[in-house]
Amino acid sequence: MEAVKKEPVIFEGFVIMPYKYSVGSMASKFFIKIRDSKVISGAKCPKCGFVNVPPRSVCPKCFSKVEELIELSGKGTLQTFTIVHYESSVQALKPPYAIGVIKLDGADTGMTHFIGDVDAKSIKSGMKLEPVFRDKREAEIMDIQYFRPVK
Amino acid sequence: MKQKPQEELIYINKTMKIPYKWRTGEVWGEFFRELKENGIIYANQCPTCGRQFCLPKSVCTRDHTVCTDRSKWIPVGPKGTVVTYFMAEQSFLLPTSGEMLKIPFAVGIILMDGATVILQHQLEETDEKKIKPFMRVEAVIRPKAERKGNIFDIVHFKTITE
Repeated sequence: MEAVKKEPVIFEGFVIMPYKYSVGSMASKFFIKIRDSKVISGAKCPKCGFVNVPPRSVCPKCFSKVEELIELSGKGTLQTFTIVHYESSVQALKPPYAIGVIKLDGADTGMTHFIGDVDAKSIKSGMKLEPVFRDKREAEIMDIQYFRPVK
Repeated sequence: MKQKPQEELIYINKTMKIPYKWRTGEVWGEFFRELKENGIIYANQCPTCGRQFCLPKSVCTRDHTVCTDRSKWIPVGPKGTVVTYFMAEQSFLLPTSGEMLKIPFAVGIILMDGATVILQHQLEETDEKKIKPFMRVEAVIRPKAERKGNIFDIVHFKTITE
């Protein structure tokens, strides 16, 4: 009995998914401030004072409603980072790139973003960083191009 | 009630394009290989109940016999009979192309000449009034240079008069 050939026939294709999501009231204000004034803001809880970045309308600590945004300097400290080498089609940047958690001065939470303008070997947790904004901004997270070490 | 001033709300519009690889398996792999290289539509036969499946199956759905014996493959078609059909009335996003489905869109449940089990595929005819039960159709196969080794190498089934 001759069986069908064992060599696999592999079909390669793409799943194309256009999507649209509304960022909400707090995040809209956050992105608009970045787009129009190059200022990063945080949400300050009126009850416990917890500041989270990017801002959310419910305090992650005490669950109170948060409506106030406070302006931050944009500078911060690198908490942790990694260098990504693995490539996939859903990445914002082509590897290798450095991505880390940055705790902005005045914030109680860290925000994730890319680290650039620095040699990968020189990146250390605890480094002081500042944001670099894109020239053409469209009210989305990549309006901050990356964070770089403060000179 | 005091109206709040109109605030600007931000929407993020993006498209994700995710590549995938689908290993078609022994049976469909063989079917697509024959379709791509020779332009022939094959069916395979169950050695127990004798039914001929087009699209081929690796296991018979009735008696669960393994059907990978290559000598039991027979070419079928390219003509067939439309047993029944359905019309897509609402357009939706096709994940493989990122485009909306062009409606009206007719899918025929087709019994290929020489097969005992049906396959379903797009009919060329889009006017529902012109689709008749048991009408004869013929597979329109893409020219060899354009074939990719997937079911769309059969473009659609066109109505024929016999």
